[in-house]
Amino acid sequence: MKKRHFKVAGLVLAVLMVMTVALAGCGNVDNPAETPAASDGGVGDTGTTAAVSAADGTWQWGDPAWEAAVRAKVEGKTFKIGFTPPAASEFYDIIMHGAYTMMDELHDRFGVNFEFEFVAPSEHDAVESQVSTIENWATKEFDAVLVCTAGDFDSMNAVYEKATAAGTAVYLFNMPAELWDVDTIKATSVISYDNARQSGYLVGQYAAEKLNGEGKILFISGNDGHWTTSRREGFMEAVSEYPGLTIVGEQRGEYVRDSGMAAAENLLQANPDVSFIYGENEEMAQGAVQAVQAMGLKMWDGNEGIIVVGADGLKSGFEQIRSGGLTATVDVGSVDQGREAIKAIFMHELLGYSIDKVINVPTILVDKENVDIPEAYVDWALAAEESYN
Amino acid sequence: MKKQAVAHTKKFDELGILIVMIALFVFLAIASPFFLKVENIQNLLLQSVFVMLVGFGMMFVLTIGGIDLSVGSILGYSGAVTGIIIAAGGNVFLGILAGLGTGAAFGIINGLLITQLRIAPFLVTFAMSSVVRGILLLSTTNGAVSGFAVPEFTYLAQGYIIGLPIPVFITIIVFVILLFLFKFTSFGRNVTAIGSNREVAFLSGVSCNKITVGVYMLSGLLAALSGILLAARLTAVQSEMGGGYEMDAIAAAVIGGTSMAGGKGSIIGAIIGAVILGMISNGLDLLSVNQFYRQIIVGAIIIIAVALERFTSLKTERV
Amino acid sequence: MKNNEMTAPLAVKAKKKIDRQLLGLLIFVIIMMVVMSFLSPSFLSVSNLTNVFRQSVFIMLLGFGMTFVLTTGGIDLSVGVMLALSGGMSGWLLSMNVNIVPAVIAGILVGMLVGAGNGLMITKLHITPFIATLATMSIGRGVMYVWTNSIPFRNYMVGGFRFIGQGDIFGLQFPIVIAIVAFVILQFVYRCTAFGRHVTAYGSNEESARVSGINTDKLLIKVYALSGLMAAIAGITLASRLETVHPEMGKGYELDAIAAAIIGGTSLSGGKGTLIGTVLGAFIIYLISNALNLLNVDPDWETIVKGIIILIVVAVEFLSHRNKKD
Repeated sequence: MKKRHFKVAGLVLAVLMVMTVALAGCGNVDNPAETPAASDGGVGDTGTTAAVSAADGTWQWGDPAWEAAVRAKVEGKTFKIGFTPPAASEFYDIIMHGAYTMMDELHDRFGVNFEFEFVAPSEHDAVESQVSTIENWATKEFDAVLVCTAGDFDSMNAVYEKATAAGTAVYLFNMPAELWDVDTIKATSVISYDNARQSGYLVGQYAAEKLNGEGKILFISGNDGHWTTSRREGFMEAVSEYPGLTIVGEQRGEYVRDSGMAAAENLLQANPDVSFIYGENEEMAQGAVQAVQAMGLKMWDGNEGIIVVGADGLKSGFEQIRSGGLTATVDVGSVDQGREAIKAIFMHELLGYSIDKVINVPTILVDKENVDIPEAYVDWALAAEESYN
Repeated sequence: MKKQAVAHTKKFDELGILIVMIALFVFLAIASPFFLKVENIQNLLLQSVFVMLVGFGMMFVLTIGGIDLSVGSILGYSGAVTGIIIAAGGNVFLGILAGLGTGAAFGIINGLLITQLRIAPFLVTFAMSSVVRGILLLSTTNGAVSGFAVPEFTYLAQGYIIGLPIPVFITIIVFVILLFLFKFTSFGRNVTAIGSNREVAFLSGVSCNKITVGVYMLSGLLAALSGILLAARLTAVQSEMGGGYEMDAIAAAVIGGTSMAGGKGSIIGAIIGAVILGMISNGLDLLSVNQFYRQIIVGAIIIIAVALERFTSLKTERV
Repeated sequence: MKNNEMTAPLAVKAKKKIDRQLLGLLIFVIIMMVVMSFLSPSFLSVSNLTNVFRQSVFIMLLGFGMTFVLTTGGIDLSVGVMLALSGGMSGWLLSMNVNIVPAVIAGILVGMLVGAGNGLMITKLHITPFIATLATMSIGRGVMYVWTNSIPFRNYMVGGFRFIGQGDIFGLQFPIVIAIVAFVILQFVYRCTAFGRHVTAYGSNEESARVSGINTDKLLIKVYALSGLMAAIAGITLASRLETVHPEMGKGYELDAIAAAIIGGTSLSGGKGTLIGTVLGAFIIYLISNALNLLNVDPDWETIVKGIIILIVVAVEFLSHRNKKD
């Protein structure tokens, strides 16, 4: 009953947000007084206003003169974009919908058209197949490709150079740019978040705060790779600031629920007295929750029990947080990553603005207290039509 | 009786699958304006040869009546060995030799476990794939192996000779050698003989164990070669490199007419199988096929290709 | 492989060898338990061991079907995907408020139909089992993505359905009960029915089975449908256990199921299989990773150790077998 109530509220909110944006979009031409933040859907702008600064003075979305000038330049043009995440999943679906919202917006405002194609390898770690896909898109004369890959930084740089040389600009999303020397990145720009500071570290801090700096922790990691490396680094950094927090077990959960659940079950047998489990994504974290419940242990109720925290910001995660099935998660700005990526491509490739090499979007630690905000944003993005496939 | 039939149809074995390949080629050439572009054909060949090399080895293994599930892991680790040596300032040739040696050594271990302890090839190579992948994980705990992208090495994968990417060139040379080995040497004949009927081969004086070890060594060696070339292409070796290659390699060999039950294999078939697999994924990209329908199409094409091949080979058999 | 002529005395010998193999596996399990009980106090507890058993149930169920398939000399790579399709069907119907009984039956039908489809491709189109089931695996996974649109099915848990994966009877977790019941029935089918005998006969010698009047096409279709049925039961149980059906659910399970059967002593070349061996095989696979988890072994080492232990298990069986012969 309660759950349904929230769902309805979420829906209403989503509809309202869509309407606001739509209205803002139409109304801007006659109403230049509109503030830039409101006209851009609100939450998403913090990253870019700093990063995408105009080379020749200021600009604002909604400025009629600017809009008219831009429209004159891009109207009727068709821009071909490829989108290749390391796997087809709910998380990347949200990012893709974030991208749709921005393409819709740009199309409505400036009359630019997009063709958008999506290919994911059937195996999460099939780097070679992603390299092939990028090569094939370059052959097809795509204007830009958006890439997120489990592939090693060095190994992907070669194909980025090859594609760029063939006239296809490469943009990365959801990649831990913090691990690399900015000058060595061969892509035009990385639209992402800092996995260490903006995700792992937040979870560590949350643990310290909720446990008052005392307690045993289990860590269930994903496949070895740059995301795990960076998130672990941030998490460990935060935990190491509190000598009372100890990590008593770490196992791999391969980013899937059944493996995460089995890992948690086995670890809990050896350490039934843990007070905090960090599952490095929400599927594994929810598997850990099921392991906790199956063993008859108590989940966190606000005062005591085992705290389980994930990372992603999926619909299922938000629902679980509401119903107490998951204590908290980190919403890593999936909607904004999609939006800002398209915006960066638009500003740089079509208008010639300079953009920063690394554009980090805002992230947020979500628990029962604040789940409404990120959920409404994700709902809004998911309502966008897939009109470019 | 069965053996005679095999010998009789040998000449026509690849015909059915060749027709399938040509049909696919023509279809893609008509359907996509980008397919016949020089860069695309180069890409297509380059994208196919890594599986093709592994498929060659797999074809020998399948023909002898075995299976090798460890090729993906061996591919990854051999590439890593080469990378580590070159990154440490070692000579490029030394690195490549060490990589090839690593692959061959794991292959020999596979062969010895299978022949001396008489454990099923499936289990030995399944366990070995776990062991080798684990070693690779350990050597990449501090991140992927990289820093070996010296120009002499990356040239191996990124250079061209008369318009052909070098890995394609190498694959052609390997193909010629293996074709000779398979068709014109006693080794090749014995592989087929053992696969057709081990007992008979043994009784007629073939040293089955030696040949079996040799076949697994060859499989390891070819996986290593593929891994080294892939390392040169990707300029870094990750813990998961080569994952799933065993399935693609088996599929390439079997689509090409190699029998899972042993006794019948075709190197040309393995080439065609790998090219068909490569063309499918290249074509799906070029034709902008919806992501979610791709795996369905891949599966359907495999069924159609193999069923057609069965159909035509049955026909030629009757003729 | 199928050319191996297995005459009657050989078959008897094979059976004896299986028994020794089972003994070897049991000894291995006991040694492991003794060693582990010293190393980790929480290992030898009832709750831990039932947990391990419960974790292994899904592979075990797939392994049962796989044992039949392998005995015919075939292979079924599509079990992981049939598991997902069946679990998906039940979950999807439940989420549309369909009653639990038809939802479960529909799930089971999906598994059996896909399995029978494999059988049809193998018998009527003469495609080798490996390729046929590999293709099914690819197609099925694609169907999962199209169907779910990459968003997992969820919010389908109703009381009765929860019981399948999470309930218990007399203190035994229900998935374990399912595995035991399935084992008893299939053991009977394998050992005491004409169907079971035909499966072994076919795997030992395809030609003579055909000559002796067995409808081999029908037999194979039934065997692959059985594999689908077991995958469906595993899938529906897993859907209830995980409360969500991910499009990738069951990925890679096929290799574990094959390994479980083979560790247990079923032969890849056909003609020889043992269900109790499969039970032990699946249990050992999960026991190893449980032990390594409890000891908090570095996950990188876990992969290596697991591989080596599987080799040791099988090698020890062989060596003990040879010693007895001497």
